[in-house]
Amino acid sequence: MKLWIITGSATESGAPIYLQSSGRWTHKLSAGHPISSEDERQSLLEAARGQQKLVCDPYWIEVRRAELGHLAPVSLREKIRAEGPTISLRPVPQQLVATASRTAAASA
Amino acid sequence: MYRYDHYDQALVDQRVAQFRDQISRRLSGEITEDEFKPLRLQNGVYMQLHAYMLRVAIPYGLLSSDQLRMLAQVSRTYDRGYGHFSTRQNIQYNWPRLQDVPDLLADLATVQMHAIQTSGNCIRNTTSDHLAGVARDELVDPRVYCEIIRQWSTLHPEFAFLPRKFKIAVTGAPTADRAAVRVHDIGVRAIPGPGPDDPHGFQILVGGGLGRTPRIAEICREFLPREHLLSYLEAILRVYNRYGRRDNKFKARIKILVGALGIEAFSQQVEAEWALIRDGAMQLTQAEFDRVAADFADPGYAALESSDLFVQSLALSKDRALGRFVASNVIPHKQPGYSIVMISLKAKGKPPGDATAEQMELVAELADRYGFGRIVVAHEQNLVLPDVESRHLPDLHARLSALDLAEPNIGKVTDIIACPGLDYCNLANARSIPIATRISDKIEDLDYLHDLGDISLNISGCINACGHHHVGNIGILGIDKQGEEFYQLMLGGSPGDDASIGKILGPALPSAEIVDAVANVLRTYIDNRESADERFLDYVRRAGFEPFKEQLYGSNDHV
Repeated sequence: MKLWIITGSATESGAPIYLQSSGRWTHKLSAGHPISSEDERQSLLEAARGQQKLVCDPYWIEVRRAELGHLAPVSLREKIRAEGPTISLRPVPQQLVATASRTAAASA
Repeated sequence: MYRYDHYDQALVDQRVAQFRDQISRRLSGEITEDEFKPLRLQNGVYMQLHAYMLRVAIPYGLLSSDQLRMLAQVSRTYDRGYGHFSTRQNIQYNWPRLQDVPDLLADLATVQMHAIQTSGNCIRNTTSDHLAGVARDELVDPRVYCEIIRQWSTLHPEFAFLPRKFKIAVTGAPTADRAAVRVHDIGVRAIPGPGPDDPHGFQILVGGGLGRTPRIAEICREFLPREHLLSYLEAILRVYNRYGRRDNKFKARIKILVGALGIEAFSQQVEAEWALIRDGAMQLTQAEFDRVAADFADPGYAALESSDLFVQSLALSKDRALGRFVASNVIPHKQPGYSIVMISLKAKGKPPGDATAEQMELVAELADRYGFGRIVVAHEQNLVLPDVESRHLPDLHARLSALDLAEPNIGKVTDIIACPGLDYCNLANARSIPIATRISDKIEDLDYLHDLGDISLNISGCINACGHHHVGNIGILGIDKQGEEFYQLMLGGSPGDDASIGKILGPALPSAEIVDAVANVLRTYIDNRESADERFLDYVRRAGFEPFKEQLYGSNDHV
């Protein structure tokens, strides 16, 4: 059986958010409301499109039950979107910054 | 460098105020995302996978040290402490919150920076040679013309809604195109006048581009007197604006129009349009040229002896880290006693083009200490200190090393151009940055790296080609194959005077195999080149693809 979740980008931050069963939005995909019928998927998507103040460009994604029953996205794109970039975000380790500061102090 | 006059400053300040109001109305729910999207795009704000992305313009890549410090401060205050220098010589922030963008832009405006026309179907930032003004092989300083084009194209009312985005590049070095002018919508090449005493003019190329339909630009006009530059550009834009397709965004770039009409018919249209406007108000007078050129006069260089022999001796230094750095990252300067220093943003295992706030601040400090407070962003996603007294090279190298900024790989195969790819980009099909870092990790031996010589390797995460994969000597294109990341390997591309579009070597390879495939290609070249003087690109052009296919796929019958 296929499962889907409604997602979009938060207007305030652009961060991915997921529709919960309560009708509120969460940043955690695993807390999103799994949908199993196409009719429900369409009606929730329409409702999400009506929340333009909170969410930008809502759409549905396919998810699956992973280990321990947690929801996980099927596509790599949505996995990266949910979990963040797969690379180091700060290209310079802090210890190098400290070394540079000492070098600068010594040469000043 | 150019300093804003009161028109420039008022324009930028007013745009900040206008966009602040638009953002406020978006956050309050007064306007929808559909209504807001064209407004944010006109101010460089995109929506990416994880957050908004803000692209800030760096006109022709030139920065003052104060501007670079501000870029660092912005990254620390409003983002996550780093920025990404792009192939369009701009900088991108990956994590700004929408509510912070007005204050961010207001801070940038205090140092004469903005994000206007960094997105949307308009004339984008004009790019240029990163060695502009200091290269020995330069005929004329292209920055003067870039600035004139910037002033003409900024908020040009006729070209605010073109069929598609529009990119212009200018080079002042007739025999060393470092600005990739042949893969731009318009390429402007400074060339000598027809007679020995005639002033320089321009060769105008049109219809180049990458993306899903890569195309090398063709000559629209062989020689254009320099006073007519703006009117001729305007004529090209008018023809494009009138006849460019608006029904299909994938066929809307000027390269498609030039291809459909043929360069002769296109040029005739341009010439006819130009005849109507060539002697009008856009004619560039000597006084206007001089007014702009004054901002690009040489800084106060000291009268020094040539340092060429000294720099050559440094390249052979027993300190191999220094020697390799000088050999690959230091370029002769037009002024005796000075050197141009390239700062690689391609340190091993790091995202190409990314710089932290600390790195930006250090480079700004070094620009003040060892140069004249100027920094240039190269389209290869590196930084340049254009005016370093050669005697300071050892000290400068030590300071750069302390912050991982002395990777000796400029022009080498690990000097990789890479788009943000699927780690950030909404359009990407596959990741680019991890492929780049895995390749740089694979090539650990610096002697081997330098033995390979000059090789460009470009990676794009989708067919939009922001990583310029078509014009890499080695190009890698990420594709999605039934949910899995695969990579096409291309060979033979070049962005320079000998511009060419690379061709696909064979079937796409899974992510797990692409790095070894690149290593295989490099080994094939090393084992078969005629001598160390035969560049990788020359070998590919001479030998063709068969030696590579045979080594990589085990036979030569792959398509």
